[in-house]
Amino acid sequence: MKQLWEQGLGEKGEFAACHPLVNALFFFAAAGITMFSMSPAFLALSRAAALGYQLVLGGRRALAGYGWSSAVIVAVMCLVNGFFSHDGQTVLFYINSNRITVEGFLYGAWSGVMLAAVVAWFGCFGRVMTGNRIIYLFGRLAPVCGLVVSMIFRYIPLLRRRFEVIHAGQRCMGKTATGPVGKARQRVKEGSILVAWSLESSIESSDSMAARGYGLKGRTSFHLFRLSRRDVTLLAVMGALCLAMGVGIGLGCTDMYYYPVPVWPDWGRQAPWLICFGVFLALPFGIDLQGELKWKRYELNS
Amino acid sequence: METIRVEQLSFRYPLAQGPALDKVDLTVEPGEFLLICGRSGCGKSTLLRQLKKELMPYGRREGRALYGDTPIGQLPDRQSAARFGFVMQNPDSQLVTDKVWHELAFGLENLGLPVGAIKRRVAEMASYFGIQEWFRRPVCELSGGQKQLLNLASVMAMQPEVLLLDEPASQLDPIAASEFLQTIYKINRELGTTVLLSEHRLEEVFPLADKVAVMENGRIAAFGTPRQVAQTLRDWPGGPHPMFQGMPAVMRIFQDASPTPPLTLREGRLRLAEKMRGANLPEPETELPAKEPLPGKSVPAAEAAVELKDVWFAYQRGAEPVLRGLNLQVRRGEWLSVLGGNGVGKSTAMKAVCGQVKPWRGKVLVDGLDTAKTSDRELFSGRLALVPQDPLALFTEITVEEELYEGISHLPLPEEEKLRRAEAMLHTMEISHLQGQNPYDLSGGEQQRLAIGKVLLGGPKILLLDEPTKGLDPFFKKTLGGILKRLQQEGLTLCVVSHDVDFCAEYSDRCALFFDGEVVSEGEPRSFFAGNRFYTTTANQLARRWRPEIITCEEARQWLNQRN
Repeated sequence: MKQLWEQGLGEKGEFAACHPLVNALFFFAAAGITMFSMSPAFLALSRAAALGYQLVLGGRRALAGYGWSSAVIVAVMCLVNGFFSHDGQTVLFYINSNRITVEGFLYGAWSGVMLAAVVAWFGCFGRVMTGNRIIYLFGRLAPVCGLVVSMIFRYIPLLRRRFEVIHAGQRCMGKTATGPVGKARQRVKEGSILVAWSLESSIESSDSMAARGYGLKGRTSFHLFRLSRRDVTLLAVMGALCLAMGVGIGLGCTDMYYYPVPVWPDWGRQAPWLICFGVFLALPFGIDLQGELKWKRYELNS
Repeated sequence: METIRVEQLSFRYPLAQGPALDKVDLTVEPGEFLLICGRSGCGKSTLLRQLKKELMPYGRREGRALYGDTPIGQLPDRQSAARFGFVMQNPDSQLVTDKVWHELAFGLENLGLPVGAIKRRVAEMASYFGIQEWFRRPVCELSGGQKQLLNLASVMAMQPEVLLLDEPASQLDPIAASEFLQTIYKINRELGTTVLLSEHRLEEVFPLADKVAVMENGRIAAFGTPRQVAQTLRDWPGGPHPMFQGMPAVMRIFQDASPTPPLTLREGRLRLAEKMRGANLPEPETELPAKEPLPGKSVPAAEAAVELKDVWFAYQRGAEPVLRGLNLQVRRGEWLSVLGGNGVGKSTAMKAVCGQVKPWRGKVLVDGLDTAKTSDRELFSGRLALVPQDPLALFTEITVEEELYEGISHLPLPEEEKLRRAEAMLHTMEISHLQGQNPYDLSGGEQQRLAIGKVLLGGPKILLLDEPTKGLDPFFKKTLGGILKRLQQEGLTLCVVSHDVDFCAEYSDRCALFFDGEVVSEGEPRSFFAGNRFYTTTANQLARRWRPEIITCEEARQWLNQRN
């Protein structure tokens, strides 16, 4: 628990160990529902939950950074919308005969919260979806996509290392350029060696692929993930909650009008959907917390 | 399982002068282990590629290659991919995906197997090859030997009937190479897979093969069991066939001393014991060994071209140091060979000399200058140069000539002088006949020489070479050794990092053995190898009981001949 607070769980959390489909459904739905809401209650809930999950992933030290970046997003959106949108009725002042209104700022601020929440959810997505998981997801779309992503992950470290070798080789030949122009020229030369070398070795790579039957019809995509019962249950629960939220969005129960004057929503009507959204967003916390407690008990007992 | 039959197969690459294969006849029975040897460019690879439909080069083909009764070029795609496995030279460029498990599954994915079936086969292969420990690791963290083993395993996962291997161990260090070749042998014996293997390093694999084919200029010069082939090459009309120089060391040592050449070290040793019966053995060492001089006995600093003094280095704070108080001297005008296993700090020491890593304790002096206080410009112009392991890291131009010129282009010299020097270097490196070719089209040995030539044009006094013999056939090695020796006689100081014990024994003035971040023994090759029990040349292993000072094949051969 202390570790959670201090450093966060990173990719080691229980939720991050679920099947990639569970992760993907959660993050896309969380971001999606947020994008279709304009009601302050939903936006605030989403941002708060995202912040909470960021705490779980990165620990308390990471929080300050996220808080600041969100504040900046909100402030920028607020100012931009306030100065460029003139639809509101409550005029504060005029600039070049353009109305600057309270509603403009208000709408901007809440769009900022929405943007901050979506950015935060995708940030968490990026943290939880390690290479294997991304490859799996792309592989589900089309086997070739999964392979391409996998090859990219393979080539980045390879090219980096090769470039280091080339750079060292050039340096140890006495090709030590001075001045910005000379240095840039030397870098370009090193880059061109890298390209030539990599093209050469890619002939062997493509031979190796062809030799192992690449290009045959009906390629499948292998992975090491197993859909456990818990994953299926989670998918079902999430699916049901998403469906409910979909109905709510359709009925306009997550929305609010800001122009020409803000119409505060009927909170009573929105409350059931808000609870539904809250339950959905709380799922990863629940899973991670349960996992942590399990470990704690396990360590105490052994 | 079917028989592979090659009948009167000829092949010519487009625009090539002569044929790459010239009326080759060959039959390989199911489950056989065939070794194909010959110098670089003799047609080994071309022949192997003719047996793999997906990799058949473009060009004019006559004659045929059959698998059972079907020409290999007409096998259905799926069958050809699954039944013929092909492993190439370079461990790195054959890997396609980012994770070990994914690489193992790659071929099976292509065949369209369902996830469950792939899982089972991958599990089987990982267990057979002992890969389970690094099953989930990214491939970029593996060693060269592990990478090549992974390449083999991912081919084997497709359950091929025929395994074609094109110099698969040439880029590996001796220990990894030996492990790899043993694995191939195991596959051949246990799974009954037909193996066709081409290789330069024959010491180990030669006695393992069922049949050996020796190729020369696109033809099969000799074919038969290892023993038959050895004998044929030795008794070649008009003196031993040139390829006999590429045979295992034991065979060369017994060239004239025995009617049938021995194949293994054990056989050679038994024969030698027979021959030496009754001869006086030197007194066995029963006393405590004399106090050995500590390694790193130094000469005056003025004579040292490179000096490492008590150098400590670790890649990360808190990590195990890679160099632990290393003391090493390269004397002016000498050829020092640095030997040692993988990961003992040899390359890191070279990096320290080049200033690529900064020691956190100790000093590195190059030509009397402290590298920590010397600018790159001062260090590398006319003083020090490094030839990287992979010559491709240096090539920028489209012809050999221009490549050499590029090596000198940055120096403040008149144009004619630059051209003259580049021209002279072509001769020194014995690559004049290649001057118009693209560096990428040269063979490994020629590329290596071009790289050395290019680096030398900068006019260094001290040359560091990292594994210069990697992947070279014995003939290229000999040429390279000769060229380097000549350069040394002209005043160049050489420091060679190598795994190649025989090469170092033959050419260097002094050898140093690295272990655990320091030099544990050093000396001139004769005393150095005589003092080693395990880490020594084949000739020394064979003769050391009687004559510990013998270290090269040639010496051993002459000694045996005298005894007759």
